[in-house]
Amino acid sequence: MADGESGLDAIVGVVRQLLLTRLLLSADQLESDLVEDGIIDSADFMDLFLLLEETFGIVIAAEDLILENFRSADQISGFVARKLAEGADPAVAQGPGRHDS
Amino acid sequence: MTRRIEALLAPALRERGDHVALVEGDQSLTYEDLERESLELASWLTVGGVRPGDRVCLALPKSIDSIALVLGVLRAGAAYVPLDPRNPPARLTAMLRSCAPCWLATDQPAAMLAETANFQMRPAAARGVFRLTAVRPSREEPAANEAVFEGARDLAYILFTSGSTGEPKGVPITHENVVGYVSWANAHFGVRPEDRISSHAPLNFDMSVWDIFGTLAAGAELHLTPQESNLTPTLLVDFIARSGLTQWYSVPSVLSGVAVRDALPPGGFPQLKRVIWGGEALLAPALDYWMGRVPGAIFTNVYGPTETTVNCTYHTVGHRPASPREVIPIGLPIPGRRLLILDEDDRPAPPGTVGQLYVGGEGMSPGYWRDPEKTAKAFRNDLPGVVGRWYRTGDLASQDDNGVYHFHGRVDRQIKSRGYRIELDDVGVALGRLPGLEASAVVSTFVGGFEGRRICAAYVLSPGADWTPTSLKAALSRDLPSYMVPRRWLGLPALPRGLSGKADLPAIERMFADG
Repeated sequence: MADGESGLDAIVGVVRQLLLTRLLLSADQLESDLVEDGIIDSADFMDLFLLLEETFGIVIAAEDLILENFRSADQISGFVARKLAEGADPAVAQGPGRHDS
Repeated sequence: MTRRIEALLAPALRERGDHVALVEGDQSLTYEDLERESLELASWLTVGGVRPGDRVCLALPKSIDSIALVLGVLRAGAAYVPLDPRNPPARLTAMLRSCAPCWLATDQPAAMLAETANFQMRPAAARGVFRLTAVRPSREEPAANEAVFEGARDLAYILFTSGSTGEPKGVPITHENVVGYVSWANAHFGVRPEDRISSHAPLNFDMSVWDIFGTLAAGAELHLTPQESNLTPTLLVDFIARSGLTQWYSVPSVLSGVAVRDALPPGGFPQLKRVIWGGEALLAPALDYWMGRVPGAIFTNVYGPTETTVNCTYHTVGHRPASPREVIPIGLPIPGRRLLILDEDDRPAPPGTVGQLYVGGEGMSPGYWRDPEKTAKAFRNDLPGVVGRWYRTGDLASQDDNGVYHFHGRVDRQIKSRGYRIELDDVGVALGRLPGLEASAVVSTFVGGFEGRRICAAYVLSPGADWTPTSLKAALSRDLPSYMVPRRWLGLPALPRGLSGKADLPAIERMFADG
C-alpha cells in the first residue's frame, strides 16, 4: 500500500470514480456536501457502503455509519484510509494499492 | 360513532393539556398548544376564504408546524393534499392543476410554482398560504367531474400516487374512512396515552395517517424521524433508542437496512413493544434479525393500497421465521373490510389458488380524483355473483386453509421499491420523452435487502446523441422524484425484442440481474 499523501490521493481518485461511475453523480455534485445538499439518499448510502467494502476490502461496522464519514469524496477517502490503517490484516491493507497503477 | 377526524381528536386535545403531543428534534408541542395553534390556523384559513370542501395543498416537509396546519385545514372543513416538496416542479404543478381551484401552503418560492403551472395566485390571510386558480384549465378539470365528488365536504385528504400514463393520480379518502381505520388500529395495537410513537413516513404517504391521527387520538407522543436519521441504519437506531419509542411503523426497507448493517445491539430497544411494517414484504432474514434483537416486541405486517385507506389486512407474526425463505402472510381482513380473490374470468378463485385480490366493505375511496374513467376501471360494482363495490388491487393473492391471505406479486408493471408505489410505465413515459433515444425500456429487478426492487433502464441512442447514464439520471431527476429515477442503466445497440416486435422485458431484466 502506498503511504502518506500519495496513498490518500490514490484513495481519493478511486472514491471519486466510484461516485461518478457507480452512483452516477455529476462532476459538480462531487464538490457539494453530499448530505446537506441531498445529493445522495439512503439507498445510495447502502450502495456506497457495499462498494467501499468490495473495492477496498474494508469492513464497515455499524458505528462507522455516521454522516461525518460520508459528506464528501474527501471525507469518504479519509474514512477509507483510517479503516485501511486500522486493518490488522496486511492482505486487506493492500486494497487501494491495486488502484495506484 | 364520531365521523370526523377533528371530533375523534377533540377529547385528547382538550384533556391532555400540558402533555407533549409532537416532538421534532429538540422542539416539542403540548396538546394545549396544538389545540390553540390548530384553532388559530383554522380561523386564519377561514378568514382567508377557505371553505368546507376546499382543498389545501401542502408542499411542505413534515414538521410540527405542518402537522398543526393539517389539523387547522381539517378544522376549517377543508381537505388536505400533502405533496412532497422535493418533487420536480413539473410534477408538483401537475398535481396542483388537478386540484385547482385550490389553496397552496408552501415555504418554497411560490411565484415559480405559479409561473410554471399557469396559475393565478393571491395570498390568503395565513402566511405562506395562497389561493391558486388555474389560468388554463387542464383536461382533468372539466366541471362535470365535480359531480363525482358531491361528498367533497366529507373528504379528509387526497394522496397522489404514480400513474401508468405518466400523470400522477389522486386518491381521495373520507373522514369516515380515516376514523374507522384509526379507531380499529388504536384498539388493535393497544395505543395508550403513555406511548411514544414513530412518525417515519412523510405526509404524502398514507402510513402517516395512523401515525398522526392515531397518536393524537390516543393522547400519546408522536416523534418525527429527522430527515438525517433516515440516511444510515446507525443514525436511525440512535433515534429510536434516544426517543424511547414504544411503537415503530415504517416501510420494510428501513428494518432491512438495520438488519443488513447489523446496526441494532441486542436489547437495544428495551421500551419498544411493537414493530409494524407495511407497503411491501419484509423478508424473513430481516424479520428474524429484529425478532432476535427485540424479543419483547410484537411484530405485525399490515397491507393495503392507498385506495382502501391505509390498510385492509394485518398479520401478527407468531414465531421467528423457520427458514430464510419463509414468506410473511398479509393476514386477515380488518373487521368491516372484505376480500375476494377472482380468476381471470372474474369468478371466485378456488381456495389455495392464486388470483387477483379485490377489496370491498368499509374504507374504500370514493374513486380517483376527477377521473371517472380510471375510477370505473378500478372500482367495480358489476362483479358477477357478488354484491357491492370492489376495488381491483392489481395484487395477486391466495387464501390458505386457515383463511389467511398471502401476497404473490402484481398483475401489471406496478412495483414497490423502498415502500414507494411506482408504475414502471410512469418512469418509461418520462424516459421516452427525452430526445435522442431511439428506444428505451424500464424494468425492475429484485435485489432484496434494503431496496427490495430496483428500477433499471436500458436505452438505445439515436445517431449522434451523447447521453450517458449520468446525464440521463440528471435529466430524469428534473421530471421525476428521486425514488422513481432508475438506479442502473445499460446502453445497448438495440433492445431485445420478442416475436411481436415489442421489447422483450424479461430478457432486459436478465441483463440487469447480476447487479
